Amino acid sequence: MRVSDSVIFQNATQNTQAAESAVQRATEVASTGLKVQTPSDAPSAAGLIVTYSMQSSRYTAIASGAQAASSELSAASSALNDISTQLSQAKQLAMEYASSGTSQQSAAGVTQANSILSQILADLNTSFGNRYLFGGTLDGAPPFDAAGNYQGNASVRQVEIAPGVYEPSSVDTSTSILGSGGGTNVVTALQSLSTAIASNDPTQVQAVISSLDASINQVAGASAQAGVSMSTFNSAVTTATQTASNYTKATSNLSDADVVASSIALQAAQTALQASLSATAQSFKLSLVDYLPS
Amino acid sequence: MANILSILTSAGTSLAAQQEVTATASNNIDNANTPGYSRQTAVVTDLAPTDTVGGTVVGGGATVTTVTQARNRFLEAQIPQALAQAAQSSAESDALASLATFNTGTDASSGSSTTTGGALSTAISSFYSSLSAVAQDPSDPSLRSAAFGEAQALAQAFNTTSEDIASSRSALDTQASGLVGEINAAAAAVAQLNGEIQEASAGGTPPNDLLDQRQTQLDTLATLTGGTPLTTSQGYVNVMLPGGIALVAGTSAGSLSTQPDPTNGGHLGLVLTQPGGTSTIAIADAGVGGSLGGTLAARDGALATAAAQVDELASDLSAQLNTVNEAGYGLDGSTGLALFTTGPTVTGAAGAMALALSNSDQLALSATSGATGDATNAQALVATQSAALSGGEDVTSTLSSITSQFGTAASDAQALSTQDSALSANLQTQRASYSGVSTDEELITLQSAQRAYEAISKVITTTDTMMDYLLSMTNITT
Repeated sequence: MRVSDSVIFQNATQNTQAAESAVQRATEVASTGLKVQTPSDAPSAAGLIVTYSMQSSRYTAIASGAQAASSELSAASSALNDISTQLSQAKQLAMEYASSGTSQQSAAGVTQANSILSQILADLNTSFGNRYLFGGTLDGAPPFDAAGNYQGNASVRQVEIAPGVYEPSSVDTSTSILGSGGGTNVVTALQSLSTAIASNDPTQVQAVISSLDASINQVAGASAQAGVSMSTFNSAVTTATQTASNYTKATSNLSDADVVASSIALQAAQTALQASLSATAQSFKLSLVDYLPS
Repeated sequence: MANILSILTSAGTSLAAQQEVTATASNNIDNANTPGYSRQTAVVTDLAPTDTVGGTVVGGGATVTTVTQARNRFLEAQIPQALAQAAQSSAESDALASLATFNTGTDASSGSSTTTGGALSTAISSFYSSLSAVAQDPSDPSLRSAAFGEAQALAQAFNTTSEDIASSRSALDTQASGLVGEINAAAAAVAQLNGEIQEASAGGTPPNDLLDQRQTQLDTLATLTGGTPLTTSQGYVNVMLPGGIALVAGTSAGSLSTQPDPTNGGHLGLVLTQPGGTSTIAIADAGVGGSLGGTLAARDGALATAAAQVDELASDLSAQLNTVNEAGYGLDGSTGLALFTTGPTVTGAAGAMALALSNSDQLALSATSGATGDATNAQALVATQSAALSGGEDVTSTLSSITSQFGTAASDAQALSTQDSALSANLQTQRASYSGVSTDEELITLQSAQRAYEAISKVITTTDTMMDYLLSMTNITT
């Protein structure tokens, strides 16, 4: 091949540009730690990064919601446990009064029964954050007034534990407290106990004990259900967090450059550039002009 | 027999020939770095004999009969197309690489920096995450505010993405306008050189420098338009655009101009005023190649597709979210309210997307009026993330597909550009090898001519001595 000056300069330009371009690319990868920065770097990987990062966010959000629901149920469970304790005390009071009720005991019993009722109503009006836990989906006002009338609704809140899969995140007050569907109204049972004691009627008090037993079982059932839901939410938190982490790792695998490989690639590109520049400089040195007599 | 005067005459002619060789070599060295210059060679031939010596003819010295150019027509025929393809793919690749809206991003909100999709992907994720959070506690004012803010951010992300793509396309309009000016100048130069070359050739002498200049302009036109040179029987070189329309015909040049095309969103279209006339003709994108063709291909190809896809995504997603929001109830009891507005048509939906609600209480998260803690509708809003859009895929897959498709187009253009550039560079190197000036060669030629010049001078000196000797014999002094 005939080598003209243009050939030397064109080759020098092309080779140097190619080597500098390689160094630039290797520097970008090494300095950012990303091998996919633009969709054209790896089109399919870029598409998957979109999918994986959005899925990671999706599961992170699910984990966050499930965690909040679990915390809320924990508060509801505490309230139910206290209600259960109060109901046991009420039953104890009823049994004592039914076996040896006296007029002296009546006044104290009424006070005690009313106190228990108040405590249970206070438990049922427990709020968590900005809302009441036993009011169904009516968050704005306490679900029970001072007389024990229910102000909430029969709805049960639900929270997503996996895409499109929901778990109850609140206690079904209508069945577990108010006895809808053939159960026992806990509030009414306590009010009946107070009335029976006030009327100094051991027989009537005896009759209330079965209602209290049913109430205790109902609340225990609700507490167990809350526990199951809490467990489900906790599992969902673990699963969703792990899934989000898996998606993040998958994104990282697609986008992140291998530190060692990128450093070596950068070094190799720099070496190639140095060689190109050296060869170019050498080729410029060789000219007949330098050897002809002036 | 040879006479002394004829020797002097021959030597004088030969001296002149060596001067011309020197001048040609000098001109080559002067133009060693001139773009488009083809090295020239002074063709030295011996002159017809004027004397005979013992029946044998003696030559009459040397002369330069012509100065030729080193040009390889085979290579030169391939170069326009190679230049055009390299310029086209390079222009398209550069144009697509300039759009950063789909580039990956990073998210440091989780404590460690993680890679995410582009800004739109992040905005969609953040919006749905905020909906998911408020679905857990729909009456929480801070969560509602956060969801409201993310909805605004989502609309803005669509606006920004649309604007990014539109800006890229508008920038290519500006680039096309600039290229048109360069093309017209080059076309006019070719037409003018056609005339000058024909005029200069009439004298029988090849106008080498004019030919070089025309070749340079033809290369420019090939690079800018993909125009193919066609030599006519009259010696003109016409230039035909890839669509088969003449840009240069003989000594007349056509003139390209741009004007807004209402059928293409007001982007600039090409109009050609044909050579030697005033009639105009619209040139389609495919009717030009080179840098201009690549610019238009990027503008109306991958970028237009991405713009349309983002518009469709904005329109579909808004429609789905609106349907759900309209069915629910806000904290203030409002119902039937759309979440987003996107304008009257799908085209431009992303740019026009805006939040239709005035405050976070209007977010219809409840399916029942007054049930402030009911998140049924919020969950339905969240569920739209997995619902199929008009293309059959959900929002995540659709955006992933848009990103991937754009990446493929940009990657293909990049690969093609690399391949075409290599081919073009190879051909240009071959042409430079054949036609380029080697200063070493020219210096050797100079040395050779100098030696010959010295020798011929010696001949003259010797002949002069002989003349002196002869004249002294006849007592005639010179």
